[in-house]
Amino acid sequence: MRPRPKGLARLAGGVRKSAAARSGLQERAKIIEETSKQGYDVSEVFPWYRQGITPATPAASGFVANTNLPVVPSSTFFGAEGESAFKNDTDGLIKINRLSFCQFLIEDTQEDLLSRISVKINSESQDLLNKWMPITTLHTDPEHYIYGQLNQGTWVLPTPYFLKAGQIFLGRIFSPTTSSLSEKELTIALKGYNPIDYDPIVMATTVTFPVFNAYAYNTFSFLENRDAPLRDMVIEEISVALSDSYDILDNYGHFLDQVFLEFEPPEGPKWSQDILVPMAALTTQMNVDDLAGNNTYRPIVVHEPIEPYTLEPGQSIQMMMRPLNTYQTGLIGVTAVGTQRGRREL
Amino acid sequence: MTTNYLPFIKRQYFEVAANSRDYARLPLFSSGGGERVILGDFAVDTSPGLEYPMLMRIGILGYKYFTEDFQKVIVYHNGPRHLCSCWRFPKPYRLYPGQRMRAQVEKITDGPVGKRDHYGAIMFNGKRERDDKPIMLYDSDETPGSGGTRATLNGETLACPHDSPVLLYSATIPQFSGGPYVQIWGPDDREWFEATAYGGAAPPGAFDNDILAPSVNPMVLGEQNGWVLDPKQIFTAEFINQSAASSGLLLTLRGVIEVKE
Repeated sequence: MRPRPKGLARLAGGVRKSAAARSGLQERAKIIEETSKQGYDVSEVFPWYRQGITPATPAASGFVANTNLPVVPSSTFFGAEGESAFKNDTDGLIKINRLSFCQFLIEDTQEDLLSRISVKINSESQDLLNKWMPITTLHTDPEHYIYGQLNQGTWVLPTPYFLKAGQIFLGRIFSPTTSSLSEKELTIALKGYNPIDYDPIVMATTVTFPVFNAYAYNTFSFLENRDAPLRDMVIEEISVALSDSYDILDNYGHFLDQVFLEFEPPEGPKWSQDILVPMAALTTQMNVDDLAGNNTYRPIVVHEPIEPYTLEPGQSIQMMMRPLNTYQTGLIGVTAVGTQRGRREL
Repeated sequence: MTTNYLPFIKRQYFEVAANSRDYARLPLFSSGGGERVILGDFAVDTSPGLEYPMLMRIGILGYKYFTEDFQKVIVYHNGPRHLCSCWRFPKPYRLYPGQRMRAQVEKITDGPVGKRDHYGAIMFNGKRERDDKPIMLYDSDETPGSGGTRATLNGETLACPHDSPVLLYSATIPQFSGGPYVQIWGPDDREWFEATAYGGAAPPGAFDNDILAPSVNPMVLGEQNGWVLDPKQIFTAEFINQSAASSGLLLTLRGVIEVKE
């Protein structure tokens, strides 16, 4: 497991020490205690993510599921605007640690769309961004970039997640398009530690990526946690990797933007509420393979505010997008990642 | 009197003759005594392929070298190449109520259909010191195009709010290829770096010059690794060019100067 720099230490280029894992545990206990004081019966903290699709044209809305990408008319300099929002429809606080803007499902490798999209961000509670700005100015994580082929990505959870002994962690994987991916096996791993003795735990399973099948899900599950010896597990990271390293991508050097995931932890679909997200949007650490393989590059704009954006129940963050130039083709997905406090559903 | 951290970039073009040895000195500007200089990172941009025959060691002039033996330039690579131009400061810069940032950014037009036009824009990511709420200071010139023209950015949205200082943690300009002109001034009109140091290009995170042929070797220095200098000390990089041709190097050193205000 790669250590994850955190907070100011991360800013300073520091590296998290092993003791930080313990502090993560304490942090969670503290959050639960604080939340309990606010009147919740029993509170949990969940890694929270949600995917919104902001089309470059209003005509294309909802979840992108085919290759018919919208094209902004070239006759006007500023094309149509798209809009999307993340609303806190829970009864607890949601803190958004990161917004990822991801360009995906585009086979035109000549230009990256992200450099030609501008954005506004508004929220009821905070004055964020009221002027049209190029998306790339939101970028706050210089360590995060995509270039060439990506065969592995890891999502470091914003807060550790407790998988209790005997519980099963499920997930689904989805191919949204007749992509350039052919049928391949993926390895999905949960990485973490035993909260009693801090021994590292890695559980891995493989799943076959549905080949050229627009709406087929393949499911995966981590059954090991049901077996003896029973022990709780604190999950810190979820990673996805190709089981093979051979040619997967042909001319389209992107992979993580075509792996759509949904996690179904035991307490229910609280993480994503039935929304799949491209792995690329979640990825906080990635390995890049074959730098010289092709001339494709896939930037992801990662915006991490120094302090998380806080959404009270009912509040939302709205994002508006519009093309900066003519000939915009493709879709931008925006994913919010953060933590969610809510009632445990027993 | 409080402590603040003034970001800086020092850039230098340095030519090493064929089969020769030479050293570059990157003196750091200083406004007085008693300040510390925290070095954030250092990058060497060579011609593609020359990161192998070019040897380097770095250190402080007159002191022990960080690496006593010369190593290939490519060995020093331990930082990411920045595709998006985000410059994250080693220490946050504090902006006070009544002050505002100012910047000048070159716009790009790449010509025909399918190429990029850009706003001139800049974004500072930070938080309000009073209540730790996140804040972005930003401005853009929303007239894309006219490559080579410079947009001056000094709007109200680059100003510190009236009720709290803000701590700025990073600066970002739009993604580009090639590296246009960018300049940043602090509230006292003090330049954060000298934009004309080389080719008119001094972008934050300027490590994206040639994404197809990686030749930039960024190295994270940082306070935690002991890279703190007195103002009079000089950061030095010494090179041995083992190739049969002379080579121009672009050296970029970034960090912050600790100042009392």
